[in-house]
Amino acid sequence: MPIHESGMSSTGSVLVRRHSKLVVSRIRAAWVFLLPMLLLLLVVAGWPLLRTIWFSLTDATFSNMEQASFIGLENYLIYEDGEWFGILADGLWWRAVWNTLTFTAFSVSLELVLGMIFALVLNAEFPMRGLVRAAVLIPWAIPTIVSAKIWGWMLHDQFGIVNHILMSLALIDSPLSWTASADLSLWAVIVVDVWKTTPFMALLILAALQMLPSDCYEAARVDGIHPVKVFFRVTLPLIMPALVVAVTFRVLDALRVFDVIYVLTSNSSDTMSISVFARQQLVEFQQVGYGSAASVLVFLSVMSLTLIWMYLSNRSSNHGGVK
Amino acid sequence: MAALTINNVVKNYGQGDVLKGINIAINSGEFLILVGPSGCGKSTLMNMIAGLETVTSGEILMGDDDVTNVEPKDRDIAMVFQSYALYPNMSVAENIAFGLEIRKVPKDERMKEVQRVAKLLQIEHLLDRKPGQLSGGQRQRVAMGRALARRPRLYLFDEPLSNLDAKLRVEMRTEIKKLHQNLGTTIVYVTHDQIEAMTLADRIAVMKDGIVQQFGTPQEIYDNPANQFVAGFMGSPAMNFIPCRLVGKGTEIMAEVQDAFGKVQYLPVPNPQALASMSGKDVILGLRPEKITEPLQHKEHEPLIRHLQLKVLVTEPTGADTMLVSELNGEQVDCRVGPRFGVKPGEITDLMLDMSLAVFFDPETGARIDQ
Repeated sequence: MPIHESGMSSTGSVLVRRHSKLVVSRIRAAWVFLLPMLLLLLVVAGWPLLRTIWFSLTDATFSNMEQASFIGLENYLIYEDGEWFGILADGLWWRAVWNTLTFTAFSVSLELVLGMIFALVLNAEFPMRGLVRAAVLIPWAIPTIVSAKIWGWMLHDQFGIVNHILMSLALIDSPLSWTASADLSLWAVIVVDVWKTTPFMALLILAALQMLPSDCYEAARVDGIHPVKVFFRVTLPLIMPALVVAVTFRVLDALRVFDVIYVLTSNSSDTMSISVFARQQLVEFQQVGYGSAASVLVFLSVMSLTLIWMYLSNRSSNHGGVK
Repeated sequence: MAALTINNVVKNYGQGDVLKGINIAINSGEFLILVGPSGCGKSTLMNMIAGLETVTSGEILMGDDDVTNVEPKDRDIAMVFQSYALYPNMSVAENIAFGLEIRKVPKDERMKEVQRVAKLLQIEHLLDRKPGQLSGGQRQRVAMGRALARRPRLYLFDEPLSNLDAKLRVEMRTEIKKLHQNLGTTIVYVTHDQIEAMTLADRIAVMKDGIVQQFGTPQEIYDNPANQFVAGFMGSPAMNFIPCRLVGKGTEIMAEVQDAFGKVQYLPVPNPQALASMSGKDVILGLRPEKITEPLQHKEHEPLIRHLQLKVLVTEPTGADTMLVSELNGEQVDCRVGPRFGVKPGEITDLMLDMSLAVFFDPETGARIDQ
């Protein structure tokens, strides 16, 4: 039987080789598909990020980018002559952080509540629903620069239509300077952002609502359960995963807010967000090192929030069972 | 006492009547089945009983109360949906207790009720699970449990078994029948499955085109169908419809058929008085497959038994018995013979026809003509 045995083993090895060849070619194909995207990411995201981190550890300015010398964490924090210096000791930085957090908290929660109401209305059957759905999306479709400019004119203290309407309704006696006043400007920015981004929230929530089974609402009707109760006991728990995603997106977005604030109020410290702060340091004060350090701090806070969120959502999907 | 009375109910969505004057009344504790092909209006009627659809005209009474324009929640009904309609975010126990919670039943009573229902349906071990973790049959039980926990005056079942596989469907059918026997509840049940209708119902309403074609007990409907549609819809395999001519033979009237050799044979009719005036007319003879069998010794002496030589086209053994497909007057006919009746396709064999439950229809209208 030796001949037969060798025959067996040779077909066996052929099978193994074919199998591994298949695996190899699959791995190669995967790399071929991945490589262009990885290269692109490396060029447009990885390289700038690494360079920013490097600059944040140097005393680079616009005029001496090439001769910048390494100064460690001095841009972030340094103790010198009995005083703290660096971003983390900069009052304007902390002001920007506070503004950003206030902006994020108020705009995202207002967008969530309004977006939910919009979505519930758009989910109901009524004539011309398609038209209304499209109309609601318009604010979101307009580029932020354009809509912020429009709002800038509407909120203008002398020529703005908002003041005009409020005055003719006798709600205010004298024009308010919405975008310049220290008390009002942050709220003006929040209102404009809410106007712009609520449609996005409504769209995400509407998508979640449309996935809901319709039969349990009929069952609830037969059982005589009040619609408000149905909303809190059935609808809300079911769309919670979608809400968490929508809120996460918006929070990460709001923490990086720049355009709407910069266009409406430019560099005012009353509304300055951390991104506006970083731009001011980088471009206007030409402090590339200092500005980069601010950018790195923005990056680190957004990244750590993302990591925490990913960890939490992984854990709940692994241990929470079917929701 | 009438538990449910449907008086001349019409439903119109704007393009003609979907339901054209429905009249049904059932007593307390009865199991009513609405059966018919899809599009016959049975689900619409069910939704109108539930209050999910408005009534165009007519009235619906529960007991002595007119509920025609009453909200679903005030009708004191519970409904089991085809898709179960469980709340996906709640556990089985919460699903069952939710309706009670809304009715402000105290917590310990709710728990007791959940336990009672869970025991009844054998789902005690599933109480903490979410609907997504249950099989189809288990979801079905939970959906029934939710209805049972409420103890309403009327239960509505909307095709509750149609999403289950064949074996489970038969099991759950028996369970539902047992539940009804034990609890004595009044049930309205919609199905398109005539076997479900026959096995479960106290009374069946066979519907087609928005009209109740026949309303009666399962046996009445099976033995005495009101028209050709009901006769063909109820029973599996379906009743044979054989076109033939009625002829007067002396004082009697008989149905004329041709056997496998082309020889004319005469079959007696069970109700000759009703057909007396129809000599020479073409009619449809309806005869159920189990009435065409191999020659059975013990039935030979019965008065309406005849033998025919028929050609076997196909044999379909099912184990318990064998279906023979044969031909009579140019129509295929199904015959139910014993499993040991050894005939092969192509053979001509002697078959016994029991005409005692034969029925006759008008070939144009499908109406019964021998009553």
